[in-house]
Amino acid sequence: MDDTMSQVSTTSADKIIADLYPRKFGTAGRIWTLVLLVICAIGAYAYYRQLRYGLEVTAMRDYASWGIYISNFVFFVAISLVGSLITAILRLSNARWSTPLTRIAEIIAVSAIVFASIIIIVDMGRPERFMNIFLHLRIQSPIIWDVVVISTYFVISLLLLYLPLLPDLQILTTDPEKNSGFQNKLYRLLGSFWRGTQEQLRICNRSIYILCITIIPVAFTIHTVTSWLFATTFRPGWDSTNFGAYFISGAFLVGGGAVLVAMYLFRRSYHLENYITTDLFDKMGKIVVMLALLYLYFNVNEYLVPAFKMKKPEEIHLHELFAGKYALIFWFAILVGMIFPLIMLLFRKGREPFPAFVAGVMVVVGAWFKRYLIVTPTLLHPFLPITDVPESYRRYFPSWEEWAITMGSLAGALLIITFFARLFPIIPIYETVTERSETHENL
Amino acid sequence: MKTYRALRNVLLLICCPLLIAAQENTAKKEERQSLIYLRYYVINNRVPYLQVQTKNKLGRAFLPQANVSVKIYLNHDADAESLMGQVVTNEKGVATLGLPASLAGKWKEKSNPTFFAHTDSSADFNATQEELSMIKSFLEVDTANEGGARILKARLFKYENNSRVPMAEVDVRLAVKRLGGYLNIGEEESYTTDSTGSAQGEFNRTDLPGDTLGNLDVVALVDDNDEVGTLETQMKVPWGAPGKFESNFNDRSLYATGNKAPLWLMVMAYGCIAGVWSVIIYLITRIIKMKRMARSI
Repeated sequence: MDDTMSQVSTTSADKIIADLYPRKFGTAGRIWTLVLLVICAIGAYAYYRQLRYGLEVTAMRDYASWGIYISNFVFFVAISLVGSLITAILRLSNARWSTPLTRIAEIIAVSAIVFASIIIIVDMGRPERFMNIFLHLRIQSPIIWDVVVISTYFVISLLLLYLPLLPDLQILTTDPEKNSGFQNKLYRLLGSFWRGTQEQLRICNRSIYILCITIIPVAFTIHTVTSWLFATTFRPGWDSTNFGAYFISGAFLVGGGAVLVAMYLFRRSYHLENYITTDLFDKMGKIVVMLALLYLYFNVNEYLVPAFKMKKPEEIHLHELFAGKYALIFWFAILVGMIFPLIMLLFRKGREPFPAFVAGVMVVVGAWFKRYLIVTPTLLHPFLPITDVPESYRRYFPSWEEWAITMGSLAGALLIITFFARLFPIIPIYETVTERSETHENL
Repeated sequence: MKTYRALRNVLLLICCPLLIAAQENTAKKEERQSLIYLRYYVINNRVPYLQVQTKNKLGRAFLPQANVSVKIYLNHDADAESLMGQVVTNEKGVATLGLPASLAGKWKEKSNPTFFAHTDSSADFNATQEELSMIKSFLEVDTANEGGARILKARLFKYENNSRVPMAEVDVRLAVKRLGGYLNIGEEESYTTDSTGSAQGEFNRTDLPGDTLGNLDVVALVDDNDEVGTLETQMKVPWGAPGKFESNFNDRSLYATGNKAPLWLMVMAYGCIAGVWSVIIYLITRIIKMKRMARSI
């Protein structure tokens, strides 16, 4: 421990360490993990069937060649942006209140980006040919840009998760008795070199600062490039110059919503009321309001301009969304994903932990359906329809294998977060102790 | 009693519009008139073919009807041996049928063949029939140079007792084929054949792009004539400007193969990748440095 730590009263530091120290799963934790594992296993079985019988087991055909997998991919990429919002943007703007949320945000980002990559491979009919992307690289293709940016963002997010963890690893190895053998090995492997010297701290802080600056353009690029996968394809609903900004604003919103959900669940499960305070919910709720308004603005842009010109293919597409067969999902995504949480979080009462959690859940669920609406209806309304296709090609509803794989991927992302919270402090111990000691000094 | 009457009147008031609507509906259904249109085509004086179109007349609207099966006979109606074939109309209510080789003998029998078309009654189309009589004809096209002027000539004949007889007073269009349509060779929209069956016009288009050798496809066209149907005969003439096709297949472009990516894109993309990964590698070296520091403590 450095000097700052020693300035804090030992009892206070000990209490923080005791409060934030990773804990064994209770009964609820075990059941939660078991349920996630079962969902993952079902997803794995469905993927085995897809590998064995081919993409025929899905409902994807010549029209809807991107189905629920790509919707899910876009959702994961969107949610991963939360890492840059909370960790980088708030850290750089010196918003120290966000410290307890940084690790939550980063692990959400890492788990989401891992499963975004996996789901893209799942969407491939011949995954064993994945390496051909690199062997026969076409730098002109937005798909290649996406592959490059996703892998880059993953590495940066991992570093941003790892570097602030180093001082905490030293704390975790202080008393090996508290940990299992596996935990001790893991902590030693990851952080045995950390001594907490001034020089190490200086290098670490500087590295985190550089990472925070680097991750912002990369995060913006990852979602802009994902939006270009659609916008560079000439189709009604995607033919927009606004798509990059539209996607980024949506990504920030769903990321904010996910943080609200995670904050509430961790606060309840680990009794972190002293760290994830109601004030934190209040601040995060206000951010989500701002993000919801921003996303609403881009949604108005996205629909009003084509609706005003009403070109024939756009008319069919918009009619399907607003009053056709996708109207229910569309209005659910708009109302539940944006308007209702926005109204709830506008009020102070709505920014208290439980209502904010409910608003967060609404944002996340609404966002998932919004991604589905971005991908599927457009594919079913091409500018040049294929002649003489079977009637089933004109409709798309995911098969059970697609649902199982999608649910499995969502469960997998939650499993990563769950196991991480079991092994590492979900709120940075060292930073919390340091900040509280500084506050104490100022007082 | 009064109540009963009042109730009856109310019921009548409600039912009357329904009854009128129902009657109108029935009348509308009865109004449907199914129609078959036949058009006769000869292209380059080869084997003729027929285009069949099926439409329903509903009120004042003529609506194409798809999936209608049409039987067509040559010269003898409803004779199994004269059956040219059976076609089903597509989504535009159109189908085409060529003269089969098996009916070559029957084709030679008459110089004015008659075609009979029949449909059976179905839910979407009434049983109906149509016939079309045509005169066998021959349209030839030729060129001439008269005092430096490039002339396109067409001659139209009909067959009588297996000999060709010139047809007069038929409008013939002289044109050059362009992508998506026909361009008249001069100012005239069409030319009328004289007593020798001839019609001619001067080709006064200059620098019209042709193929690589400057060839153009000129055509003589008789469009949907009551006696001879639609005839088209074409020939190649070297009256165009040789077209230069410059392939950009090997150029660097966004749509080329990976090894032909635009340089500006490569500089930008690889520049960004190199920039960000340099930072990542730098940060990894920082971690290694921290590890080394630990060893020296």
